[in-house]
Amino acid sequence: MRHVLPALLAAALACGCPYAREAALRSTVIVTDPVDCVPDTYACVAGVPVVCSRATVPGSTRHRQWPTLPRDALGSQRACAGACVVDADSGIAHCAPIDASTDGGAL
Amino acid sequence: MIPRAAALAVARRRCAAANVELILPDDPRRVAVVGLVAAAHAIIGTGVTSEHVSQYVTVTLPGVPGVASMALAMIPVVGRFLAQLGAQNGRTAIYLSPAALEHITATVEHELGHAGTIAAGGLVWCGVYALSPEARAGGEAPCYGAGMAVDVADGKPVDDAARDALVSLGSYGLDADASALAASIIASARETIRATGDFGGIVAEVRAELAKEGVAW
Repeated sequence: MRHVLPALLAAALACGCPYAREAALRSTVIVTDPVDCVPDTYACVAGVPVVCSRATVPGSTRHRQWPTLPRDALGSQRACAGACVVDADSGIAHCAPIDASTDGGAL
Repeated sequence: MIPRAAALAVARRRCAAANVELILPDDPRRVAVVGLVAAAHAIIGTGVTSEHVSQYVTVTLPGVPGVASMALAMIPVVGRFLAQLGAQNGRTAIYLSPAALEHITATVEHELGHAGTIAAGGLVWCGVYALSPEARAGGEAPCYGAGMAVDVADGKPVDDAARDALVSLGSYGLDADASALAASIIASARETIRATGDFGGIVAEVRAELAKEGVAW
């Protein structure tokens, strides 16, 4: 696989082909697998607010969910120190103090 | 307002703890990297000038092992810039801009997010970042959230911080879908900061480090 990755990246760079770009995305351990989600909707996954991208994975109807929190400097995904909630009105997922779980939607 | 000396001391400690090199604006290695970044902007056609890069652009770049660095140096035109990536013995490095010295903490916390993605994703991630607007949005926007959290803790209104982040994200060559993704991530960051005063623990970590410098923040 290690020898294939540079070829994938070079192919994607050369042709801008969405399939080559998708192959490069799939080869990256920090990019999540595509899921069935509604574009622009939020969720909480393992205490991390995520949002569903509008971009469709080529050849499918799936999308990727992207975390809204960064990784720490050592590479671990940061998570909410308290709760992750999805606001009932705005639909936005965000971190909240640990006692503020009244909005619902926390997973 | 965080005193510059304390901010720099904290930045150095946090970078060292992550095995990341912090390179100041007057370091000759940054001069070389400015050339690389400016060349990239010229190739992509963003309209960003070399002068702008020199003054305002802080960048985090992965280290490259020594042998690969020697090979990069042989590439015409940009090779001498690329070879600078090997000058940190394979360590990721943050190249601070002169303008960043006015916002050291927010800038470094933003860049440490990139250092984290490089640590987890390696050089492959860097290639994907360059190729995919979606990856750029998903990689950049949370790091802008980190800077927002520091700015808000330092007194900036959260809505202003979110607005400024969105303006900055407009210069990353994002398409419509990627721009929407970036905006959604910033909206979540805004609400997290509003609700908690933090962003996944970044503010608490910086506050603890500043306390060691005798700064109550």
